[in-house]
Amino acid sequence: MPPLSTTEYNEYLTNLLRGNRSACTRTVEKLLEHNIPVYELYLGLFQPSLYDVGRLWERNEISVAVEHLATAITESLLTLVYPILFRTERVGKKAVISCVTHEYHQIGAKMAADAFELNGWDSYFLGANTPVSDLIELVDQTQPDIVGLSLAVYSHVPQLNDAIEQLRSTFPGANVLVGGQAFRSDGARMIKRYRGVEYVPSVLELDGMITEATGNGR
Amino acid sequence: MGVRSRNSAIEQFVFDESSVFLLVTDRGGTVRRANSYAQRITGERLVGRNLRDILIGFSPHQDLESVIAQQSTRHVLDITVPGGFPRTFSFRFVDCEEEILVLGEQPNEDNDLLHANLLGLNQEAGNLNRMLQKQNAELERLNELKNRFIGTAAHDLRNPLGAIRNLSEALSRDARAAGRDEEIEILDAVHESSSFMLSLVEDLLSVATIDSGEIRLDFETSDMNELVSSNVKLNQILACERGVELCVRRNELVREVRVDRAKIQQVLNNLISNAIKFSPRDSVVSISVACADEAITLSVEDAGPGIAPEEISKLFKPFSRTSTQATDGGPSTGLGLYIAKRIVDAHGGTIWAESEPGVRTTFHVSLPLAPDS
Repeated sequence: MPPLSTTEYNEYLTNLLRGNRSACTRTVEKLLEHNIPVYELYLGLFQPSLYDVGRLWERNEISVAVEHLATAITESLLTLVYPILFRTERVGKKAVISCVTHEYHQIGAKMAADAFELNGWDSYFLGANTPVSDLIELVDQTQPDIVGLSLAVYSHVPQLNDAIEQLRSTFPGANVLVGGQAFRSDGARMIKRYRGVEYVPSVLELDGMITEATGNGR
Repeated sequence: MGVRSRNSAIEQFVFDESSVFLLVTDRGGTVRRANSYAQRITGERLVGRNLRDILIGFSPHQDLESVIAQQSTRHVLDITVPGGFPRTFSFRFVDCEEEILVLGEQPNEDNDLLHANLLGLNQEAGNLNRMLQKQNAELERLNELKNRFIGTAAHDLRNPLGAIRNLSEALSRDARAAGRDEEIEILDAVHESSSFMLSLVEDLLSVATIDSGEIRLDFETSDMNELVSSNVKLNQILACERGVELCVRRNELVREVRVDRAKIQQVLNNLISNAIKFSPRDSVVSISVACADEAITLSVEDAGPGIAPEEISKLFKPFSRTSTQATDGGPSTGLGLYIAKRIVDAHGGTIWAESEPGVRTTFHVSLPLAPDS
């Protein structure tokens, strides 16, 4: 199938901004029927459309209600991918993915959790605004190979610090990855302050890291 | 248009179109005018009603004059909504000499809270949906693994079990010829047990095939009367052993039907042999065929102990057993009716049972004359 055309993308974005859930669903169903690769759907449709919605909100061209509705619709569209996602053969590895406390933007984290599933890992997705105690409890229960933390809003860096410190003190050997929109300007530099924490700039790079971790039995 | 009439038109427009709750009442709190928003919220005609019937916990005689005196104060009050939850508004009461203007706005913080809660619920629903789908996928994987295991185990057990059954039968014949009674008893027990295990293994193999979605139907045009007759012949030996008469009611009007002959034979065999096993000695098992416009219906009726109404729904579930025992107390795999249902389902048909405890039980199978396949 050819990549999504500009016209198709714009039509989808318009429907998203109008809150037309069924039209957006039809677009995604059609793409899935044509076997669009999951990452192409995430990075070619969901991610750019949400970035565009965010930019329109920043420029005060749409209300926060429209932005929230677009996010809610995208969240429901992600479920259409699940039948593909969860049928991948399991490789016996686990990841816990979570947003930090007070972080309510969870779609990026969910896409990251989905990348693990696509690679046959079992991902435990904790979602938005997760208290550190819940995160520590789940890590203790599941003993994952990787813990992923997502941060979309820069002002939540103190909560990220707290989560990383508690993870480090409770599970000194844990492999911790972080990513999200909060790091887009100087993420790599910011992350240097944390010992043993890796920064993941995008879902595609995360996929590469997962492939490597799957192969070397980390 | 003069200034007065223009202002009046603007006032009327605001009154009719604004999204605030607006009432004009007399000094006693009886509504003289209500804007369309207020009518829409309450769903009722408001003119002529008193504020005490509209605002929950508000008593005009005690409160109205005092609240008018504090024009800038907001009063958070609930409005009765017929057939729905009360709605909360922030009210101001404005003194307009003979009349009182009652102005209600929905508190913004309520809207914000509602908005945030809805978003949170949507996220939560999405996360639960993800978890559910993941667990479903996991269950499907485990089910597939189970089917594969059962299929392999059953397949590997079938041949040795068949050998045990056949050899025990042969040895039993020799023992009978030689009159070795003790041996006959032991060998008959071996034969009976291995026969049951073999039928269990056959059923497990069928279940594994059906549950893994590999059930394949080879449709061919078949005469249903002939199918029934040949199956009755197969079951005649069992019926004679149990002293049960098999009575077939042929229906010459029955048209030919496209079915997988072997699989429908399996269904018929299950229903007829079950009916024999559950029938008392000297009773009759009736097998009939009926035909309607688009379907053919086979019925097998016995005069056994019947099935309790609360157990009917369990009949077609795997490994389910009812409290009813076969006449000779023999074992059952609990899979036969489940397999029969899955075969009938695959044909686009229906299978069901009717029972009058202590009188009779009838199993019906309805098959479409023109299956979708």
